[in-house]
Amino acid sequence: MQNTAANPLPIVLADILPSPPNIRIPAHELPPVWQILVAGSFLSIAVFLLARTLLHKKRSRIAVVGVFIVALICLTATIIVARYVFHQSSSYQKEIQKRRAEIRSSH
Amino acid sequence: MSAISQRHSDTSVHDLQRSTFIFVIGFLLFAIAALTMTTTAPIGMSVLIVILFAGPHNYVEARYFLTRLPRRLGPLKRYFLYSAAGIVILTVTYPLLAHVPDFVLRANRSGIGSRRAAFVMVSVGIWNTALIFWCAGLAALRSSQRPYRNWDYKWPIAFGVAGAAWLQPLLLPLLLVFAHPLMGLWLLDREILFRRPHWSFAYRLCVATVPVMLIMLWTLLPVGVSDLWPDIHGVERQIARHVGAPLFSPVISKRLIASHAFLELLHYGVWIVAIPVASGRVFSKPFQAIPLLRRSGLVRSIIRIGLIVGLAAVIALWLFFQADYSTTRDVYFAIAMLHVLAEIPFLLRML
Repeated sequence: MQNTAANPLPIVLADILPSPPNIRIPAHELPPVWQILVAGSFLSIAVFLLARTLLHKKRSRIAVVGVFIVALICLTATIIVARYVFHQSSSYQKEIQKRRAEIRSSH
Repeated sequence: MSAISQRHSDTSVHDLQRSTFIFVIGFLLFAIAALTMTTTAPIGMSVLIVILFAGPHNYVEARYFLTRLPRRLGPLKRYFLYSAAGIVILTVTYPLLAHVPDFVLRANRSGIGSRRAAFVMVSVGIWNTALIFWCAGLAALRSSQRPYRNWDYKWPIAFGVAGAAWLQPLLLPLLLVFAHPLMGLWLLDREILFRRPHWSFAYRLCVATVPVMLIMLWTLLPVGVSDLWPDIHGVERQIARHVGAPLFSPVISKRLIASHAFLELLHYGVWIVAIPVASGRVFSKPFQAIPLLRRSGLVRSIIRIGLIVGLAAVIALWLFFQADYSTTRDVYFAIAMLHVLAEIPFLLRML
């Protein structure tokens, strides 16, 4: 607390910035799978619509193909992240069940 | 003759420069005073500014919007009907978001905590999506009306924002809480551009100082013991919840409260002083500036009665705040969504 009062900014930044990738995010802090799928679907539609608008505006075909590829990557990433979250939450649930069983057996 | 006209022109240029100087000094002094007060006493200022200015600024906004509505809607009828429908539906459903899950889950009490959280996420997510697509629909209608606009990217942007909002649905309503005060600054910018273009450059420079002031606020504000979110109670807890403190680390709750109070005070200043002065619409010509008052006797009577009721509501709000601040604040901010949403169609019309 003393440190924070003396130099508040680094603490604040540390609170706002996302965790570095090497730190494992606890499963209960991740959004549920269905939420990621809905978000991913909206984002993929957004990229497809962007490509369509660019095509309508007669921008270069390479750019349009690039945007379509980004849309495919969005879809794939959504599925991968959803699977990862699903896996993490199942491990988390298993862990909780295991701990509950341990507590029950100790009593 | 030419010497006289030259002198006249010099005088008018001098007057323009003088009015710009007064406006800039006024804006900056007000912003600095707001920054000082909200940094010194974030909670106290949060309470005080809502009591003093929430009602009057809504009244001024209503008066201003009335002056911007045309006498006959004509080709704008669809736009304003769509706007009104969206404003009403989104405002009515907003306070229900926290209560619908309780109502749905009342029958089944098993695992109620986690299921309630999921229901809140779904209902807030649906509300966010409705808001985003309502805005995109408004942009589509606006761009097809005169003066025509090439807003071709509205649908990709809408889908993109909706997708991002679904990742953490609670963040968009919070973003509205913080972004809404800035919408007043944007409306003032448009008003200045149309009515007092000589202020425009100076005004934009003034607005550029707002992020600098926010950085100063976050850097200078010391962290106190009362910053710890779970340990705060009463009105302080209510204010912290309003600015989204539970979503973030407890150490930044006071900074969030101070930032919101600062932006809110700027917003009130913009609506109560700057927009009436810049537009010359709200108070300078009390009733001639409202085109709808030139319509039939019935419409005229409805608007006049509405304005008197509005004034009475401002006084009633002060009395309610004095009687029970906490409840009045909650009710006020639930209803205040109406004016937050009402600013969007008027802003789009001015772009």
